[in-house]
Amino acid sequence: MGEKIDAAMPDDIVIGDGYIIVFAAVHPTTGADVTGVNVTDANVTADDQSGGSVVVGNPILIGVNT
Amino acid sequence: MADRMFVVPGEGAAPFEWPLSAGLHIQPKIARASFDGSGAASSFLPCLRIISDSGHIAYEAVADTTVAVGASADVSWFRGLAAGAGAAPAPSAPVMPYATVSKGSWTWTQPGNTFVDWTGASTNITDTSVFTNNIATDATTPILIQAPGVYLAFGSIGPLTTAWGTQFVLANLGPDMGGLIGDSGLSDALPVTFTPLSVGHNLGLLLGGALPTVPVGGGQLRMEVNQNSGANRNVGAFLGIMRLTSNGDGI
Repeated sequence: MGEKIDAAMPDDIVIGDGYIIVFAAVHPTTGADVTGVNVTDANVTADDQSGGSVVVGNPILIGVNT
Repeated sequence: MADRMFVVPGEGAAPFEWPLSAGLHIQPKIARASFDGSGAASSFLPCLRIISDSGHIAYEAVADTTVAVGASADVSWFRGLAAGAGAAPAPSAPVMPYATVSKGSWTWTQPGNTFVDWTGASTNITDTSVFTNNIATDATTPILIQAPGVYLAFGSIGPLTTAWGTQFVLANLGPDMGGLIGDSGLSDALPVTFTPLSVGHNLGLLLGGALPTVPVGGGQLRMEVNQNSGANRNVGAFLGIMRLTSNGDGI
């Protein structure tokens, strides 16, 4: 278990197809990526705005008079 | 719509990428990852980087806290956290610069007035922009004040043997003193004098006030003592001063 660090991220950014989330380690002065760092247990909690999730209500039986 | 956690599969060397699945559109609220720096080439700052569909960096959220070489960190990125907030800082005590001089043994010549000679005293100055050590120049004025502020000084000396008329003065902090002024003269009427109540009591005095400007010559913080009768005695002495605030009392 390592040191606990909290950092800020932007409030209103929506990302989708073709976007990549990268967990990186950067040098404190040069900003270049630092090698030799391993990333584990990564996760992202997000508001899922994908269109595939549709609210489905109770079925309505429509009678047909034949 | 309810929030959803996306667990990034696997693990890997930083920069560790998670390409969003086709059709997925999300508004990230929290991101978290563990960084194992046991093999790091240098110290580093954890960074959450978003690369757009054009292949360009859209945003980098860089933590404020540097992770040392060989160390690890569990990092969380939050929305609504002020930029630059970084890691929650450890609670810290208010910073009040102070200076002290302490002398375990000093021969107090009796009777009569005398200023404590601080030659050889132990000193502790926490901020030299506020206080400086003046013992080498004038051993009776051991601390000079170099900045405006509201100050509180304390002095003690002892142990003492009770003798009527024993008096003790923290001499004035300088002619610019705006608050309480301890007069450098010795008088029973001075509010900052103290007569010990019984054998063995140390004398302790407080003196404070505002210095709206840097006092002339660094002030005159001295400890002046007087005993009207009795033989020379060996005592210990302490003098300290603290700046309570740099901008109080209208400064």
